[in-house]
Amino acid sequence: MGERILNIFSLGIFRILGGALVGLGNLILGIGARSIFLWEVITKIGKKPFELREFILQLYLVGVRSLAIVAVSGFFVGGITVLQFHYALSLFGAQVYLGGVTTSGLLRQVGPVLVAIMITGRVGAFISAELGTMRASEQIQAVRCLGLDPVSVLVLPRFLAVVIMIFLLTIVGLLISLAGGALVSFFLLKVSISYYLVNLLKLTTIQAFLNGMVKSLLFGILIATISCYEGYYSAPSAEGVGKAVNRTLTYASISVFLVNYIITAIVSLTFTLGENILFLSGAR
Amino acid sequence: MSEWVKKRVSNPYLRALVLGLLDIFYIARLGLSVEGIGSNFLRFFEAVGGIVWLFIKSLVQIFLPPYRLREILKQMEIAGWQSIPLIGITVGFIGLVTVLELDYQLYRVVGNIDYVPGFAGILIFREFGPTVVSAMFSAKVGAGWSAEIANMKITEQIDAMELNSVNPIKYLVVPRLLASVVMLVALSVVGASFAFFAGWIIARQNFSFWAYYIMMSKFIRLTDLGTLFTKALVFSSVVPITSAWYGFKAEGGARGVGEATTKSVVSSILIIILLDFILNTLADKLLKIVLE
Repeated sequence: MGERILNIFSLGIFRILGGALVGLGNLILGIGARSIFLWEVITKIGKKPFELREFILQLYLVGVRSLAIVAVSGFFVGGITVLQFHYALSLFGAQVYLGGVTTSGLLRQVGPVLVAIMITGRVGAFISAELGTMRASEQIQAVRCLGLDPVSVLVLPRFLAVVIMIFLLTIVGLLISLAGGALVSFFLLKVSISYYLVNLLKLTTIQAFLNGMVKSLLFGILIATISCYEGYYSAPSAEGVGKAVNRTLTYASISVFLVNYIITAIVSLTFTLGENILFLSGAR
Repeated sequence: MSEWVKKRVSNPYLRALVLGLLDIFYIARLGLSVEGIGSNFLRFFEAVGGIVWLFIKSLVQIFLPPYRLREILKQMEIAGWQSIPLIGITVGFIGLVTVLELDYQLYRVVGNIDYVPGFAGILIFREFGPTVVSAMFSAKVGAGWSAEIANMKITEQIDAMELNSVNPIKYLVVPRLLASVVMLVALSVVGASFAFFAGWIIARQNFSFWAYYIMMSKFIRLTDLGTLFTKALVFSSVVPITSAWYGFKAEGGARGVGEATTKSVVSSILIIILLDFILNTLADKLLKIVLE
């Protein structure tokens, strides 16, 4: 009897449908598990045993150690953006808007995503490798045996450090990428300063900056949740650690781009509606 | 110093704060001393030289027999086929965002949105196709490769290979390099087409498919397609060589594997960004020289 049912389900269409259903179920289960983990971490904020010393150390390790990478990549990505926009705008003779379009694009889209991806590679992968190694060498169980809560001792300092530091690093990265874009346009493209700045204030509003900041906060929460979850619940072996790191990189980059799209869509939907109400310094 | 703090400061929060700052001070003092800065510079030059030297060595090894075709095909499956979902999703979302953002920007700048497909096409073919795909490739495939090689290193399998007079570069790096060269070029075309169709999903309100295609093809020249292939070829050797170098250098158990993975991903993305910048600045000048 059971074999017959299996035979029916091994027919092509059922197999594909079943596979899709299982995949969808796994996706929902995965998102749910990570949300529960996020809620578990959030409820621990402000509770009594807070590892302040560990938190400060993590702030240093996450923030100061990745400053150089964010600075270098931000500078050159700003330059690349200016070069490509200059080429594209010159095709229909709108180079006057180079400064405005580049600055707005860097603030709203390129900067936050770039910092998020670099921090995922630098910090997210490291955190999941570290927590996975702790799981593999049974240090997490040891912490529990000492009567401490491993989530509030090990996970919470890293989580908070990543969220705070991505926010701050995004500000630094944005400023450096703007400087890189301006320098490249002055020295490589020979665009004069007044030409670069003429439409900058007209096209760049404070909302563009706020948009980038909101994005970076959300990216920080996403990356911190995913990297801590994958490390904390990794399979207790050397292979499990490698798989956890791989999953962190994959899931974090997918979710960063997904959330980026969702926010951009919401902003552009509400833009025409709220332009007259909210955008006091709007261009038009 | 920390003992003195532990004895004197009674408030637990203040004590933790002072101790944490002291920890940072001790770490930062090592990094800021003359030896610290010197060793950082040494490590940087060691990495640059080592990666270039490994690249040259593996280029030589490509032409020497035995050719391990089965291994190359296996690596091609891992590198190419299995990373299509990630690259499709990420670059697809980038295509969606690009058209949305350009709608908004160009409407404010030029006043109409006729140029959106052309602008998006230039960005897709010159940047997103090669560069973003290579960065995602290093996050997906390069991390796996460096973890694999680092695992072999710390379990002394690479030493065992050398004892059996098997060249680890020939055995491990060359198949990955060849697979990456073939597959990254293919993946950039796949990524660019994903971004193209995703862009049309958003542009659908204003353009029919053929109007979108024609408006884009007015701005895209053959050199843009050439840029796509050139950049993909140049970036393709970055990921396998960097991940192999950090894998060969790994030491110290499971922690070393994690560190090798992290470093290889970040350095390959950084190298890709730098190479991209150099190619972008050189490309125009080279074209001018060739045309003159």
